[in-house]
Amino acid sequence: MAMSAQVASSSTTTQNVEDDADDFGPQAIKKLATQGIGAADIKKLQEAGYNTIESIAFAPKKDLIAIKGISEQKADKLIAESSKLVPMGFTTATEFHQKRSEIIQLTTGSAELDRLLGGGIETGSITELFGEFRTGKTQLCHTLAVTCQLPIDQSGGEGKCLYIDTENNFRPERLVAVAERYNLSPTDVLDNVAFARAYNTDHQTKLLVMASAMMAESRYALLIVDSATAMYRTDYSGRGELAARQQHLARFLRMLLRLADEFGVAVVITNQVVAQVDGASLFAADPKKPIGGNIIAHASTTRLYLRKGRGETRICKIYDSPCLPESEATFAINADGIGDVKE
Amino acid sequence: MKPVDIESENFLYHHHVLRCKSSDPDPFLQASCRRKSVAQLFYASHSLCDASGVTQILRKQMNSYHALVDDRAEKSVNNYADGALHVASIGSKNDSTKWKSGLRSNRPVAAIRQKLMECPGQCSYFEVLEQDLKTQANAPTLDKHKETNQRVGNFVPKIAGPSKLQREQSQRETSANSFQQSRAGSAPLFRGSSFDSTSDVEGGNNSTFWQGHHTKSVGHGNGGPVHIGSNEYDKDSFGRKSSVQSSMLNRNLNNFGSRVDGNHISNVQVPGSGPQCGGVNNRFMVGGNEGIPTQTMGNSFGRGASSNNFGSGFNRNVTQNGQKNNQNTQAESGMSSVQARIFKTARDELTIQNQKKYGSRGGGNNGYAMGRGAVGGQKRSLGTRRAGVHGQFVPPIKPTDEDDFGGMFGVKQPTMEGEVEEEIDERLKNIDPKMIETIRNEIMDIGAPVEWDDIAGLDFAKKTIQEIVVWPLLRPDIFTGLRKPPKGLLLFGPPGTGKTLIGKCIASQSQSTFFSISASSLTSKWIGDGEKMVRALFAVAKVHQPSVVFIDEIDSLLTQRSDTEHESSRRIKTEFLVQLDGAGTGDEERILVVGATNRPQELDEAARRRLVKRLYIPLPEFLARKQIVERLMSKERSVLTAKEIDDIASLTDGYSGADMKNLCQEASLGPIRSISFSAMHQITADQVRPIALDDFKAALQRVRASVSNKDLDAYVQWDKTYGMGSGM
Repeated sequence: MAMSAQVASSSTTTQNVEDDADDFGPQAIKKLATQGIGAADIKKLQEAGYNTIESIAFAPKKDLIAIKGISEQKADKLIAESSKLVPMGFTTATEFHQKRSEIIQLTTGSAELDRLLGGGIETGSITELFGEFRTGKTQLCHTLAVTCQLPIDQSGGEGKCLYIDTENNFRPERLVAVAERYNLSPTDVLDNVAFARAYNTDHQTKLLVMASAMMAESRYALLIVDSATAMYRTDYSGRGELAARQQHLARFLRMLLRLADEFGVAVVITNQVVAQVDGASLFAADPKKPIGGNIIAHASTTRLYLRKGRGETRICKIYDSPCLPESEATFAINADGIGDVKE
Repeated sequence: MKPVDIESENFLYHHHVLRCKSSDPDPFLQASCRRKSVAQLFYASHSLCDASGVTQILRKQMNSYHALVDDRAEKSVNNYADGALHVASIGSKNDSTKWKSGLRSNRPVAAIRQKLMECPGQCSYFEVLEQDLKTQANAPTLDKHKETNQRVGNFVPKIAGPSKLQREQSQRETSANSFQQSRAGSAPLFRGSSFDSTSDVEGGNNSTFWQGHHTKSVGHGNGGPVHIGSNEYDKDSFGRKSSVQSSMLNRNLNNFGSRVDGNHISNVQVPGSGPQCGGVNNRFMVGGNEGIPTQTMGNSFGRGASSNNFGSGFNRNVTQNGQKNNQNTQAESGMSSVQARIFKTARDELTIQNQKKYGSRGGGNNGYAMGRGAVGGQKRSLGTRRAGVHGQFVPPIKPTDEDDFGGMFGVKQPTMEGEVEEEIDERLKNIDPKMIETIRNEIMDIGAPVEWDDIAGLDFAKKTIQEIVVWPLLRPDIFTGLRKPPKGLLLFGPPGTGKTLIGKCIASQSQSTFFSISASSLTSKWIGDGEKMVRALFAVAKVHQPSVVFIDEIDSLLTQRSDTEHESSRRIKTEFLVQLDGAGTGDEERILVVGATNRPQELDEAARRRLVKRLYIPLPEFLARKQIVERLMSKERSVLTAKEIDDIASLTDGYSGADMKNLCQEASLGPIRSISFSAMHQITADQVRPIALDDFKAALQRVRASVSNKDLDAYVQWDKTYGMGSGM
């Protein structure tokens, strides 16, 4: 029947992906077919944004049932089969330590900032950049979009970059400038960056579904959302919608985390700040706080606070990190991206 | 699945509906019902009898359906102007480049294609049809997009009886729309064209997208019948007002052996030709968008306008196939093509942004200019391997010009170079690049080559210098430990005795980096910069070792430190001393500092200590003076005998080398002076009298020794105290 033929063809495309991925990286969902999952079901899962076995293993059952055409029994079977293929149990700290030491870190372009971050932006986790306007959030994103394509021995990620822009400040010519600094071919660099504008919070979330499909297809090293919260600030207003907003935001961040887990990409999101204008904070030296409240605070692994220094220098402070000490580094925004401060 | 059962059930249902509502005034509903029933009937009959039988069964149904569809009465199906114009007016303000894709396919065309390839002949059509019929069965609601309904209606009988109906319909097309005629009987086209799978219709449904793709297909030019279609499309889209959409659809339907009523769609204009068409475009998109579970948020309007039904589903399918014609390149699954339109590569985005900035030169016709710009932008990527946003990661490393055979050499060579670079950076890291540049400018490449033989006399000095400079270079393995050459060499003596010449000789003979430093290259108007320059000098010398730093008139830099001197010169001095031999200097460095002075007694004692070898360069002796005269006179015409030269040499006791040269110059002017002023005009060069002893005697009256014996005593005294003892 035609249906089976469709699945056959779609599985040939995933086959290619799998050939590239070899034994590490996410496992293509098509592998489930060998575990007795019907081709039609796999198709449905793919349409719902589940492109790897990991994504199914990591998904709560409720979400699987919510997919059209997946019954509770099927969901159970899916979970059972996928957790066979994805190690989700306990491991020793030694083993985990070994794994962590192999984690790639993407250079930011500034040696000092890299030193602060212990090597660069960590892959497989969410890094949040927040600060006022003109503190270099977007510039850092632009530089990262190029450095993630560098070879691994040059502290790159050897992967593509996926860029979701909500504030309409993505400027490809900045990428070209950075590419020239690293002596990379600008056209290849631009081709390796997949860019999308997000127009509202729902769309922003939908883009992540597509992102997961794209990441299953080719090697991505970095996912940038600049900025993650801008849309939420306006799509939801007032305390009345606060709960809805935070829930939506939490789901969005959860999807980001899922992508980071599944594909091992570095996720970099930017966040805006809010000034506290009530009486108590009048005396605080720096009354700015990141928006998104506790949800985003808990979701992001590393939080970096950027603020403006003298001239083109910017100061980055570790606001929250599981392992890095609270300290500061100074970097500069140069014509060719983020760099070190010149004397 | 058992489609037959479902279909037959639905068939009865639709037939029933059709019967009941045959008096319904709404022609759209009627057409839809009729179309569905025809489709069901076709399916059912197909399963029962062969193609000719099907044709017989369906002919009557089709005729009535066509009559309905082609009715051009004001409210009938065949009148689209209202709907299209209505939609177009909504989107009149929108920027066409901002449109995001709406359509998507959840039905990989590749699968159909594969099936088609497997089944010979007409069988292939049935596969497609079956699928569409299934969709149809699931979607009983009516669509606003009547053209798709019609398509299906035509679609079915075409397959059933291709030859006859086609002819009949193509006649009608002639009156309706000029595009379709040529492609009425194009079964081969269908087969050929649908073999490529990418279905990108939905795409960033903007002008860039449409035009970009059709250009692409033109560029490919590889598959006969397909390109008839795409070329035509090309022309249309440049024609701006012609209906791209309709031509596309037409072609598709022709591919299926069917046709569409072109004048329904001919209201659609080329995307990019104005805001109006934007609305239409989006409307097309919307239909498809509803057909799939995940919607795109890209299109902001009209999504709710059309409820999902068979029509939209089929619309999507058809357009997909059309798009296949346009894109003969990649094979991607239907799923991925959806995202291809929402995510673009940064390069596409750059193109778009550039267009926004510079592309709108058309003035009033802004939208069109943008559209054309888009074509230009896309054209550059023609025929490349770019797979858009779905391409695999391409390492953006620029290809190196070196011979890169294999990864080994290609990788290793740069790292080696990188290490050397790194080393240099390590040593020069803390030094201002400008200073490094200044110091590098002091490196003397090569002046006039000076041989050791050019220095008359001074055998002891020459021997010592060779020992210090030349031999260690030849046999660095021997000159280690205690035999290590000294770091400092001081040449002192009365002026004009050849100290600078020795320096020049070292420069040309030592094959090491030769820095000629004077006070001017080390001092600065900024406080502290002088010291840094000294530091930079030694750092650069270290990098370029073996190196020789020659400081002429070293007393200007390293005079005795005193209370009265300025602080900054004191600091330069101390820095120099520290660099010359301080805590930071290593034993393995091969830097020789050569200082030349004629005031050795003024040197700072610490500097004196560091300039280990102190060579007295005395006034030339008798033999040396003789040598000088001989050498200088050898280039002139002279009548001097050896005896006379001896006389001159003995007469010039106490003359320095420079004085001897002066003397010879003066003497050489003697013959000229003897020429009378009037004769000066005519005399030829060889008529000038050769230089004789008398000239020298006259010159001796004029040129006196520049160094007195009293001065010499001071040098000798100093040499006795501090010098090496030059054998005098």
